[in-house]
Amino acid sequence: MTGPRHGAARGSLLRVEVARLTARRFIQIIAALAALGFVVLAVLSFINYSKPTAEVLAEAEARRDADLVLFEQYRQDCLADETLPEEEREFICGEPQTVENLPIEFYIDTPPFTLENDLPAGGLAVAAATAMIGFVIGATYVGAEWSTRSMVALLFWEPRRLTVIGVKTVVAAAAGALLALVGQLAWFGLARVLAAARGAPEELPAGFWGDVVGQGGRSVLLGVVATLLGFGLANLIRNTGAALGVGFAYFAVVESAVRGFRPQLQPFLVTDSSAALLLDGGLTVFIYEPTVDESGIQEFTELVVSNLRGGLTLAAYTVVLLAVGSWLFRRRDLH
Amino acid sequence: MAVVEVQNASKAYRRRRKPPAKALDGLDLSVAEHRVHGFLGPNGSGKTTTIRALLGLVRLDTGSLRLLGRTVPEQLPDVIAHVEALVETPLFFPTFGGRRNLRLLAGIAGIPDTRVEECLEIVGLLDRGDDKFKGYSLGMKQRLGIAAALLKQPRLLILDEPSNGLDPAGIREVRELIRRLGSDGSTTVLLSSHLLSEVQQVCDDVTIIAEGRLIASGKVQDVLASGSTGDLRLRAPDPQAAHDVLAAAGYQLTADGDAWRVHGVTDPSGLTRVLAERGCYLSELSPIAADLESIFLDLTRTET
Repeated sequence: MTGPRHGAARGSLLRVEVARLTARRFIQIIAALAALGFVVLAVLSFINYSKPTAEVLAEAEARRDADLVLFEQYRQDCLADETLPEEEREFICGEPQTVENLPIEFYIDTPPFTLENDLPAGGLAVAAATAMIGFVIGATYVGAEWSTRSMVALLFWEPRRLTVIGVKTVVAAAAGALLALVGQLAWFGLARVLAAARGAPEELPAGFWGDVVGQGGRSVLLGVVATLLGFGLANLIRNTGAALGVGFAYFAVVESAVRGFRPQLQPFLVTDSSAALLLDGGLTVFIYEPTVDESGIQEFTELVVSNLRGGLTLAAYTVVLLAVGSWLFRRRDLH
Repeated sequence: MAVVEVQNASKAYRRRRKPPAKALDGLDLSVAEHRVHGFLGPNGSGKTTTIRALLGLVRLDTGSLRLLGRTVPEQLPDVIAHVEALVETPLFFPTFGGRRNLRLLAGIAGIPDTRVEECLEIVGLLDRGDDKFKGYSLGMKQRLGIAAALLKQPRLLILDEPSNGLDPAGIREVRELIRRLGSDGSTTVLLSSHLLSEVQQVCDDVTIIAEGRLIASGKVQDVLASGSTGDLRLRAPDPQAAHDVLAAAGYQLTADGDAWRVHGVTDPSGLTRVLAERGCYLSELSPIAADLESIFLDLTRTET
């Protein structure tokens, strides 16, 4: 007897799964809404930023210089204040203010778009948005397979369950990566256009573009992880709506409860781990003590959660969710 | 050669706070090649569990399964290209058209789109292939399920209640299709059905099960013969005279409309000789064949 060609079958299954994902109307609607959201973002950006004229720039610089003089005067007065303990005066009066501390856009009513500040900040917002969309796409991709029971029909054609779920996982991961990548590239393109049309002349710090690429790469990673978390959860529960409900309950209830009652566990939260993965240099988490000391100050511990630690925490959750779901899928009776 | 072999198959489903529900209890089943094999049993008798186990969807507690000579589920991937099934309701994406649903399945096995069109034509859905599956009538859904089952040109076709939802014309078409497949010399059909007349009309062999156990199995004609009572229907120009002659000769008769039913006749020629010797001649003498329904009901009633 001639059996099916396994390699060829896997290849075909991959193509079919890609077709199945992209043909889904709900996913097409989500993609269209995401594109529409991006268009709205572009329009709002063009409205909220403006390219300053030479007069506006000159006026802003004059106001900033006046502020710098005022701040320095205040600092000198502060340092001369003998009512303050001498050893603490430098700390209380602070560092001298410089041009770097007072960006020129603070002094312009409709500020210009700056690559240095707005490109990374916008990139983070786009990363968060694509991660959430990825979670929904991952959940609905496999959840619909269960609710329509087409997962069972698929097994009439490819009975190796781990192959089926493996290919679906690969497709979900690729979809999450593509979504996040397109989001980052689109934002990067829009930022360049905004800088040209609504920006002021600026000098970018050394290593700026490397940091942008690094943040973009981590955004893509977050997109993959979020999509696989949605996929893994829906595969475990076998229902899209329930998976989204569990996700919502986790963010609304579990994370709030942990922050309130077990703050030392904050570095293990999905939100904090995601922020730690994304932010340049990681996330600084402030873990407050439950009691206030006699001077009325609530003690806290500062903990820096690095990019690597944030990523590993998320990866661990994803792997556990996918592994449990796949193990159950392999063993369970299907009806 | 048996294309389906089930030996001593047992399966119990665990239930929360209840004892396990026994679906199969030492079932044996053997389906010969190039035949249409009926699989009969009351609701809950284990037919669908058996089919699901054969397709690798359900794991047996004990027992062994073989499909086309390969052990299931371990070697199922080796033979799945030659096996297709329609189990209960067809499972398709509701928002995709029938054609797209079939093409997605065909794509897994590298089956060309031309075969999809052929199958749509066979089941009469060529013109409605682009309509969404959720808009199909129950009968159209069932026909699309059959089309999917035909895509691979399988050596073994497993059909679970294929006539569900079909109108009389559709039922006839499906039965003709099954017969055609069963006689093409390359396909074996395992037909699970609650329609006894369907099995009687379409199948060569039959297996009857109840409560997960084998009750009877064999060629349909043999199973029918095993349930034969030996009763005869008799008509004569003078019915009363025929009755009196036979009653006097020791035969048991009851009225059957305008005829007589003679019970337990082992030698019909003896009966005609008795009548002829007394000058009674017959206008009809026919055996009353047991139908599958009555045999099925007798067997399953006895068992349960």
